[in-house]
Amino acid sequence: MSAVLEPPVETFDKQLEELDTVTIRFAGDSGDGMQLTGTQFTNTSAIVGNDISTLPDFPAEIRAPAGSLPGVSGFQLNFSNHDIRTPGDQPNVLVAMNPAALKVNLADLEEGGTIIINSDEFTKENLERAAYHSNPLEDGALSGYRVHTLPISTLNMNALKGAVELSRKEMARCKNFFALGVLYWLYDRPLEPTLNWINAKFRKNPELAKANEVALKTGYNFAETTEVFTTHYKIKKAVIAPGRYRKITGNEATAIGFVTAAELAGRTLFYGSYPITPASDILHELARHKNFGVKTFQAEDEIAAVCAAIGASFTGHVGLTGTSGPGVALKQEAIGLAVMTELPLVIINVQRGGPSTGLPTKTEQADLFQAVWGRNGECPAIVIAPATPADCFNMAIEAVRLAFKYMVPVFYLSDGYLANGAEPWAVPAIEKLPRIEVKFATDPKNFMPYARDEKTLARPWALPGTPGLEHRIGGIEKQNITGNVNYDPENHHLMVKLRQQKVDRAVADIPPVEVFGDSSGKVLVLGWGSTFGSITSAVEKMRNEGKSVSSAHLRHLNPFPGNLGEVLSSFETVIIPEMNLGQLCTMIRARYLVGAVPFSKVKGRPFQIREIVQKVEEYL
Amino acid sequence: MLCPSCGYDNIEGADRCDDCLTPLYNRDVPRAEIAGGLARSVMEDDLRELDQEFLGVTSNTPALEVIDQMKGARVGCALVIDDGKLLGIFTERDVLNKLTGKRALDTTTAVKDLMSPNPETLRETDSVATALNKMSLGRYRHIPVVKADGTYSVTSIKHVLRYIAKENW
Amino acid sequence: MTTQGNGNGHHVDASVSAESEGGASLFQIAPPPGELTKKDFVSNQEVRWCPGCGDYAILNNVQKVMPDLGISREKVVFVSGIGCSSRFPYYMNTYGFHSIHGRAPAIATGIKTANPELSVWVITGDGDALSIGGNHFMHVLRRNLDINYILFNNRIYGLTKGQYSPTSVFGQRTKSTPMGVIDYPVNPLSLAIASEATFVARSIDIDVKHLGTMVESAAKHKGVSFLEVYQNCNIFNDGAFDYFAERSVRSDNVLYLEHGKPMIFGKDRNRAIRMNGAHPEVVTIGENGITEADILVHDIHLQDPSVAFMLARMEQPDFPQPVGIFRAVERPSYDQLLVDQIDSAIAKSGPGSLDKLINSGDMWTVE
Repeated sequence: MSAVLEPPVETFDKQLEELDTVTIRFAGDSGDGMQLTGTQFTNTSAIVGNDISTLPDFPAEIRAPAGSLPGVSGFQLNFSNHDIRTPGDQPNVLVAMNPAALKVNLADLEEGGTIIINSDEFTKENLERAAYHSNPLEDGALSGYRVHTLPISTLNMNALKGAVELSRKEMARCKNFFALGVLYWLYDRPLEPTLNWINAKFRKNPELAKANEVALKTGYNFAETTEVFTTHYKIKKAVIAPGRYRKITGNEATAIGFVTAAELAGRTLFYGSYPITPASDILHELARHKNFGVKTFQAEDEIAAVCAAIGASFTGHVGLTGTSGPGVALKQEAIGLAVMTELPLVIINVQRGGPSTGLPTKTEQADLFQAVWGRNGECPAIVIAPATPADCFNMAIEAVRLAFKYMVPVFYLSDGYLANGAEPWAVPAIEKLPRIEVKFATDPKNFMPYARDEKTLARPWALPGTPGLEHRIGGIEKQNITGNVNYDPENHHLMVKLRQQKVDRAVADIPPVEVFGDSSGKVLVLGWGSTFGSITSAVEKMRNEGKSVSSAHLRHLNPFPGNLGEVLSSFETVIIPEMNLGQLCTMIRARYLVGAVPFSKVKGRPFQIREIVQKVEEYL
Repeated sequence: MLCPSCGYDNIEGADRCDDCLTPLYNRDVPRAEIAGGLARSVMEDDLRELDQEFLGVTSNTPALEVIDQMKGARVGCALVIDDGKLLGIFTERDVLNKLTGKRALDTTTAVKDLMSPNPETLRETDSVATALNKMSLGRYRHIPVVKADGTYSVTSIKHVLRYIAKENW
Repeated sequence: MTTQGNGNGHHVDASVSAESEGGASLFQIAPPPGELTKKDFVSNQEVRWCPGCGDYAILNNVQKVMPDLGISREKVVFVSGIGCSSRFPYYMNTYGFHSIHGRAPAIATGIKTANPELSVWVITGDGDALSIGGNHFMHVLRRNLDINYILFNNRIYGLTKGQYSPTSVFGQRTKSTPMGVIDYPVNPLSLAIASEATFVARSIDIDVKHLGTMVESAAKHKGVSFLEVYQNCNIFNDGAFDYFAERSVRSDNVLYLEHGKPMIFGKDRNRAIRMNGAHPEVVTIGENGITEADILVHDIHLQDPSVAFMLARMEQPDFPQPVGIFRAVERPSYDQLLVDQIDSAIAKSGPGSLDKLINSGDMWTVE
């Protein structure tokens, strides 16, 4: 009765080749379930011990007609037998479930790459919708690739018809599991993890669970027996430190990081925010954690969001606000107020393509100048930037720690690539996480609103509700120590310098920057933010070839780590790849008087490993 | 909205189920507006949801032979196709109404003389409702359907009844 | 601006004068709520408003009312934006935040949601609240934050020296409109009622007793309290309200709204408001057979804000200027609702567990 093919009767020998790393991009219409498929493949790969890194490519429109170009949804996954840090420069394999998916993604596929196509969807209508004038399967457009055309929809339907009690439409939706089965065979993955998942998730819908199971197994068996595939591939386990891992995206890690930071400080988290791509997910995630006491406030605009966070900080909460580039532009006056009132405040900027509305769904890192210098007057703030999706967790704790210690706003610069990309995260032991110290003023006898800590120059944090400490703060210049409004010229000069010195002194709390590779040599590749993966991988590749190149990655951008000058001067050339026109480069040149070389890519896409390799070779 | 696969209660407008990642894209856009149940389904579902059948004969095939083929295949009509082109349809009704008198005795009559020429056809992507409508207006019970690849099949009132009776619309 | 020293010396140039009141430490714990006096609320800052400014009267009034509210001084926070009125927090010996133009309501929202036990006051002006702050004004009112929002309306921009404001009179000659204002002004009370404010009131700076009552009522109201105060700027817009507020004409031109009482005004207490169909009209009791029974009785607790809105639109010359409480209804406040949600989340899922938070999602073990 079941149409599942019986265990393989191989008519000829199939090759099993070993590969070090594979990058697959799953692409289809938004209704095809490519995120689900890609996620399942990723999870299975993680369970069998490969290192993984993923990056989704969500549809451009909220709802697009089926089969149309703006409706294409993609999911790229890189899995390997060694440590990888990026979701892959280019896919080796493109799974295209319809013509629109092929159209959108073909250009990214590597030369001679493999394409697996659901030929059933290459109908006249769908080809028209994808703006194809002729069928690429027939007109030679794909001659440079290894194309496997499979009638996935039909095969899926044949497998399920009569085997399950579902409508045609529901059966058709299982074709993504069929495709997954094919890919599982191709890459020698076990079916168990996905089968377990299907049975757990769809236990309320047993017919559907059965259908998905049948589709998966049939896809697998089909691939095993069909003549279309003569080879399948094995990717061995990577050497990964033992422990518990979870897959995490940058935005998830950011949200969890700040909830954790607030717990470590023993304070309540207040998140003031306004929906903006790509930061809205942080608001959504934090809004679900009310049982931690987290207060999320969706404000009427960006300015209200940061002002509410400042008010909450004045009152003793962890004042946090999150947005993207255009939102920071609006918030700057208020951030200046936080600098002048010397209150802790953390500003998350999930950077995206700019300027102005720019490219909301594309990544960029061009808000560094804005974070360091974008306010009126001399208005210094601490600036830090996570390097990987999992690092977003650590840097969230770091942001709160520095904000509290130095009573100053801290910019937390993430970007769209980190926000949506996922990687394995070695889950930390909670007991090992450092507590964040907080001290509040309580004694009226020795209290002065702007008295300064000897070491940090931070002023005391006196919360409304504390008897005897009633005082006023505000945006007008303050007299040092007393905090009264003061226009005296000498005082102003002093205060401007003190606010700068306070931020400079944070260098005492910043670990020295580490160099990956030799501590001196011909070329140093310096980066910040999400370029970590590409840079480190490129440098590792070149070092394996014996080249004299090292890399260093900055997670603290203002102030810089104390040893940075020394590190820079140990190399003949410093190259700085950035997704902007050279903002870190400008800062480095100005501060350290080194002729650092900018390497700019402002395409809304991350650097590819070989782009960095190519650039570095010019200087070797 | 409740995920149709795992039942999780997602917030309205979610792109994918938060629990199982099943895409919800095509489920919340406006469709056959206010109708519900069967009325809605016949508007939404297309002819690929219906079972179909196919018996094709060339135009010069003798009618009696066609009738034998129809009996053997247990179908109620045959499509008359020459070189891939649909010329006509020959159904049980035609047997009832036209195979009378002199022609009943003539074993050489070709099916092309008894068929209904140039029948109305539908595309596979047309809705079940359209088929119902055609059948009731045209007072016929079989409709040729042009498939995506240009070949033909037939959908009949029998298939529609089967669809209705299945009740999972 | 004079500054205060603490007697222990501080390292600032001697060109800054350092005066201290009696040489005692500036920071002292206040007496408990039952024993507070006006003096406890007066800060040591010399008040810098222009002599004759209406703000003095308001400041005095608030300082007098505060001890009677039964609130500990340390729980009081004044938040202001930018403007002459926004200097207010410096003169109150409470916690204060002199913030940026137009944004006081947003800051106050953060303060009140962080600690709902604080008594939070927003002091703002017609420019701060209705120009740049128009957006935040509307939202803090509609959210019903349990704060007190006092708008000093002087129909001009004082601090920046005389430009017109959103409440300035059409045709008014100002520094930035030498040929006359061509904007139509907006009515703050109309906006407040339209923004669903649950307590809406108006008073006059020089009517000390009335203002004091309004401030107290605002403080006692649970939910957002909006109070517009007509305030005279004697430098840039002197006499703006004299046409009704000046003592000799006040009783004939101001309608004192009192809950439960008929709307009667006038020197002889015989002018009144009556509904004529859907519209109000001014009538004289005793003429044309009109008795007190015909007069509209004020009810501040009406859920429907239409009457309050109608009263807010009343203006000279056709109507007296109404002052008093226009509306006072009860509705759960934002800060209360947020606390309730947190409590119910904890009741449902237990207090947050970092362990559970971190160990969720797609997990696997590497041996």
